Amino acid sequence: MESFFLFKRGILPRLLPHFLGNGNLRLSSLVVVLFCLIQLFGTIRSYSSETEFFVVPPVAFSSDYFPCSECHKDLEANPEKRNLHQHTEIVYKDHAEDERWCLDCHDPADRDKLLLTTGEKVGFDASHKICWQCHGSLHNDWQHGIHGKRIGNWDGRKQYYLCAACHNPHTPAFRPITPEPPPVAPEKTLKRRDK
Amino acid sequence: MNQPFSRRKFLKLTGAGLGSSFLGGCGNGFDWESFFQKNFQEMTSAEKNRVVQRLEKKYSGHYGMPVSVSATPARENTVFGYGLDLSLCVGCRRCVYACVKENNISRDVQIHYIRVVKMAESERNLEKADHYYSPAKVPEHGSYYMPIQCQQCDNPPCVKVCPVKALWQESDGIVAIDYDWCIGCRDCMAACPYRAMKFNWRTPHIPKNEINGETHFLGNRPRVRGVVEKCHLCIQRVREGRYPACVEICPAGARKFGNLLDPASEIRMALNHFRTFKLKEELNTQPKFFYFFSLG
Amino acid sequence: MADNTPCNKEFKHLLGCLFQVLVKGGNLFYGWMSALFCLLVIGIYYLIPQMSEGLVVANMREQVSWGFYIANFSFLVGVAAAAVLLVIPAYLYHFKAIKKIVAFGDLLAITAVIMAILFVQVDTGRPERFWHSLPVIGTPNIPDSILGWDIVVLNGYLLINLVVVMYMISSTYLGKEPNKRFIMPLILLSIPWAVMLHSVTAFIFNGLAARPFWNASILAPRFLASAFCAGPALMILIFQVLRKVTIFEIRDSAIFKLAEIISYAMAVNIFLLIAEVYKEYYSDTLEFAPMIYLFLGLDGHNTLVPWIWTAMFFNLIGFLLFLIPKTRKNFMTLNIGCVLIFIGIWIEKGLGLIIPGFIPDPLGEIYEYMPSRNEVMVAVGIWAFGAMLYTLMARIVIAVDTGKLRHPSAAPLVLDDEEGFIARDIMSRGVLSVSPETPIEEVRTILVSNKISGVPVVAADNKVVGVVSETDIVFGLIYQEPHLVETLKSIVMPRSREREEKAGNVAGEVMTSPPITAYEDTPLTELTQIIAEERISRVIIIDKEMHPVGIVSQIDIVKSQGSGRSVKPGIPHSGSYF
Repeated sequence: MESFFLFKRGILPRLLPHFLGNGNLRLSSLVVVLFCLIQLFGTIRSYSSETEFFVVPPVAFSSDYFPCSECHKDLEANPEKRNLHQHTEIVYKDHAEDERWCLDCHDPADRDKLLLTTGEKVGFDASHKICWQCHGSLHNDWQHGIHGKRIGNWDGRKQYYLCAACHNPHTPAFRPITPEPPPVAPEKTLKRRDK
Repeated sequence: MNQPFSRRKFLKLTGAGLGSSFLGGCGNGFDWESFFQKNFQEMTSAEKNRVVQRLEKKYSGHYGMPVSVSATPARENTVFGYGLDLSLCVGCRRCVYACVKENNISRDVQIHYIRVVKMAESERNLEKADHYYSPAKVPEHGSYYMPIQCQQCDNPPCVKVCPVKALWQESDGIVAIDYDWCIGCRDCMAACPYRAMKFNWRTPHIPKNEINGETHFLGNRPRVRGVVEKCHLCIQRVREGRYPACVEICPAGARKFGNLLDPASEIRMALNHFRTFKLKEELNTQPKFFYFFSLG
Repeated sequence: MADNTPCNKEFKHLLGCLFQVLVKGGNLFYGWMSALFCLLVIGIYYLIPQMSEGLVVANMREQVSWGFYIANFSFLVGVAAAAVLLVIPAYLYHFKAIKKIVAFGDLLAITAVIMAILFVQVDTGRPERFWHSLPVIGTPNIPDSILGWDIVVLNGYLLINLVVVMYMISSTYLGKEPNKRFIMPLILLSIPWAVMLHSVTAFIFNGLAARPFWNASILAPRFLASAFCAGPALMILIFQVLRKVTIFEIRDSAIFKLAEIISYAMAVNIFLLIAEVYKEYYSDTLEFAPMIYLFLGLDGHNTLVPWIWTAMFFNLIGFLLFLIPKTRKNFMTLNIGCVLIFIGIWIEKGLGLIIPGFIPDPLGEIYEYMPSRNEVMVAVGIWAFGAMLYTLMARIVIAVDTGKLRHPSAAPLVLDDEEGFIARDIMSRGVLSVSPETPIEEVRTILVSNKISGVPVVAADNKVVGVVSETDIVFGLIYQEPHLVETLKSIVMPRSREREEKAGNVAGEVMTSPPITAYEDTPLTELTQIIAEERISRVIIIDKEMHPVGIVSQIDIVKSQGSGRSVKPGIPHSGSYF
């Protein structure tokens, strides 16, 4: 079943989660590039769409908040479900809030990291691994580029948008946006010269 | 009778007016070289180079900025396919305007390559579609949105009906138009079941500071009035390996693009993974544009 | 000096004569031509913004991308194709009266094709690039594109008709016998070509799966049927004008023949329309929407509704006027019928055919199109140009046909009247007649004592109202319930006469009415044809007031063959090719 979701060609895609998992994005991308070069010269490829894999960092935190440990280092972790007085911007809603609370994903010890159920810590730039724990199927879709947004080159270096780029992890439903104006109706386009 | 006199005078006046307007075209004045330019399909590569250079000079002069015109041919082993995830599309029309900007499309009279229609969740009949929805926020509950553009048919009716071979299918599947060869008969507009063909009812007006200087001969180079145009999958981008503009702008990631011959491409993944459908499949136009609902 | 260059002299003579023909005329001619010229100028005035601004001045948009121009184009192609309706009776059935005027049909075809081409030209966005569709220098998309084919077929039809008319005209002008081997195949070719022309034009629309309104296999037959109504209707009107304002003679029989064709074609046209409406109505799929839009209006959009019902009403009234022999043979009602049918078909096959093809459009949008003033005025200009062209060409043909325009060294033109006998030459004068009140007994006595087989019945105002023949008397004696088919035939068929059903006691009750008549100048060939076709023994010769002046019976015709003055072959008219 696994092969259905994984790329059938090239070793790189199979290794990708490992690179993504180490939390050091720059290093991982460097390794990726090196691997690509090895692949480029080491294997005969008829298609080039597997060469590069690149992740866009999630929404940039403002310096008011990040790094989180600045404030949280002196605060004791409170696992109680409650209204957040400080983080009024965070509303945890419509995301299984009865079952989970902040510290299920945020590492109580190191507030600059996220915590997987395995106990592994990941950075915010690999937040998709948190999502993966429940949304495995969607995550696979995302990995293969059929869910989520990618930009760049269709046959080469492309950038994946992390889950959190589109879905606020605390209220993950897609936020409604203002649409661009509708087209001009043909009746209103009329530019009669003879009027 | 003074009819001959008035006739002569009249002919002089109208002849001058007609002649200049008849041949004027782009507003750059008439030149015989472009009048006798061959059909792009019949040009040798040397001729293509010459035409491209002439056009670059002409456009750069007209817009007062460097405009490059490429004639990059199709890649081998490549056929482009496009997927649209109707579960994800929020109907924001970002794609429509990104396309207009990328492709130097006429603003006035307005031309949109992409038409996004809103339909009730239970509805599949386009006659019930809303083309002019304009709520404060999208998506709206109980509706879905369907962007429609050129479906890059494998059996394209527009190519079939064109009386002058100004339309053809490139080897990478893009249905291309030679704007300098089109006579503007609009038979393709009548033949297209997706209303993808657009006509320049007047000389396209594009603000000079909004010109996209990277153009392709078969793509977004400036057009003249009286010719048809349509979505060409951003040929100037995809032939250089980049995603089309609509794919990159989509805030919902609903647009998928790739090489149909590459089993690992995003479009192939989507085709393998989801149950896709083609718009008006019964007409046997065989679109390479696939719609699917990834969720639910 | 001039003698040294005879060619030059001849050419000058021709030019001089042509100038006379084209420019010299009466007040009516000048008035007509200047009115048309004004309309043409207005058309060009409205064309200029379209040429400088673009087609934005028309009301066509992305949703409705073809409009008034293409509507006129498809209608005019039909008019052009209808010229074949003169060629078929003239050359396949040798209908003499039509043979004489077939050239005017060809001129109409030429004019209509040129107008159709002009309408396509003003509709295209880059008319100066028309050469892209030509072979060798362009890249015509043949065989794939039907529009590509249509360009070939349209120009081919123009060429065939031009060659035929010009060849015949120049032969007559030079006083030479036309080479039948050359021209006859062309004339015969024009028959299938006309059908092809109109079918191919229908196929342009017909082949588009994107437009369910057009995508019906009945479209090409509908095109032909409607063309065979509108074209001849226009011809009937033109012929009456021609014979009124020129010395050229066009016989009633030719006009009535055309009227008869219209009645058949209109019946077929209405039947095909009903078949089409039924199919869409009963199957009631989404493809019914354009037809709902056309006839009833869709979601409150109903611009075309009054137009199409006007067309339906006109067509129906026109059809009835043509169906009933009495109104068909009355010039007043005939002309009303022609106008109604022409306008009715123009709406039905113009706006009524083109616009609903786009409404609703493939994405379900409705844009209600009506032509802009620019479109209407440009169209008026093209129609005016067509009328001018036809007028001038008809003047040349008439001048050549009547000998006014003739090569100086050609033998004088032999006019049709001298070709052979006409009714006046052979008819028996001093006609016996009876009144409708004359008792049968007395009629029988007249027939027996004069050894004649029939006698005209003349009313009090000395107009012929019928004929009592031996047959009528026999039928009068034997009461016979007429066969149902006969009764129907007498209503529908043009020449069947109503037989009195009951045994009568006076001439008025047994007579055959209306009688078969001809004028004094009707040629013998035509008289023969009438007698043969009608299966009668005699034709009553009348003057313009319907007063009987003579009778031509079969024996008169037989006698004429023995007399010294036989039917001599004259040099044919160019109007009548052979």
